Amino acid sequence: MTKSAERPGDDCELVSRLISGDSAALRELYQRHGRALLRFSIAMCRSQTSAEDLVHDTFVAFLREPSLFDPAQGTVLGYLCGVLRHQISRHFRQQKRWVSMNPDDDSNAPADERPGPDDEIARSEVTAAFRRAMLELPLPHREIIALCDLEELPYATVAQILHCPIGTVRSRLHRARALLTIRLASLEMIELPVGMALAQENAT
Amino acid sequence: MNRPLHPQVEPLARSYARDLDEVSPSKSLDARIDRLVATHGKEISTPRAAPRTEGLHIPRWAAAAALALLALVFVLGAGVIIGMRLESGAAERVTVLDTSHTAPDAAWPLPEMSMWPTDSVALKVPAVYAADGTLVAVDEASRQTSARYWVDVVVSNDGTVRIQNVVPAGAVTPSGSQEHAPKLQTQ
Repeated sequence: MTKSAERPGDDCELVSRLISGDSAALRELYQRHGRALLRFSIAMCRSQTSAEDLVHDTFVAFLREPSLFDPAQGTVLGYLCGVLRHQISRHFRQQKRWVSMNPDDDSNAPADERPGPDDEIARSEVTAAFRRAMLELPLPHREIIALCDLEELPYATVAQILHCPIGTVRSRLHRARALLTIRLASLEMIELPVGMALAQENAT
Repeated sequence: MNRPLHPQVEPLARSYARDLDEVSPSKSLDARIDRLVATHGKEISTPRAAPRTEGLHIPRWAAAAALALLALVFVLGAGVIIGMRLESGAAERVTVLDTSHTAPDAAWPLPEMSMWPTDSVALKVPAVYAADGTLVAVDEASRQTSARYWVDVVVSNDGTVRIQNVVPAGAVTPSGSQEHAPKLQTQ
């Protein structure tokens, strides 16, 4: 069950208004889907500031070319998540270009390259540790857990966002869950029987 | 069907998802979206710039061809100008040479003394009759008492020499004055 309000007919009408020049429709789309996009963005980034910047950039991109959305290919939220995913990917590519002059100094490193999250997203130590484990996953695995397990989007929507078949979504989710489980076990947040841990490692 | 999350991982994920759900966009993001909407609305309401005329849509190949043509004209023009300058320089040099060649020189004989372009030169040579009956040229300043004659000798450009006239030195010239020195006449 998805958390965001999915009203495809209304969303398409808003997009039509946006295409015809009614920019107020963008505000309504932001009010409907902004929180979901921000959750996904925060799950992907260490910094809430960066996450909000990426959500803003997503709406800027959508405002520039609203006609690129095709209702036949999926929902507006799925399209916006796809745009946000591209923004996140570009953001991390740009982050890699910055290198600290002092290898021991992490204070000058970009916010998304620092060892731990620097925000107050997690309300407890347990969820903070879970968030750290999430952020240590590779981007493809991180995004599929964020979309499927945190946002609880249907596989079809996730497949639309990732531009891949549903089977690929399933297999990628399987590997991502296994990696996350092993990581949490290594942080001693969960206990795994030795045999199961090995099976999970083989699965990856 | 996918295997679900590990039983111990699922509550952690739910807890983290709840934390994420409680995150709301900051006022800064709301303000930026409002500004974006307002700015875009203004952009839409303001009249767009007049569309460019069709004539200004020049294909790249046409622009490249025009540039190539301009370059060709420039090169040809420069070639013509350089050629004209070389030509005029050569003419000036020729003029200078001609002038130097034809400039009057004090050490050179006057034009009427020159063998060129006259065909022959006429000389008046003082002479006396020798004992054997031949005319012998003498120095004008010598004080010989024998009768003198002026011998008109014509030397042609082809090298031939001929005696044109022999006149006694005491005779009066057609101009009415006595001739005392050899004269050169060109023909």
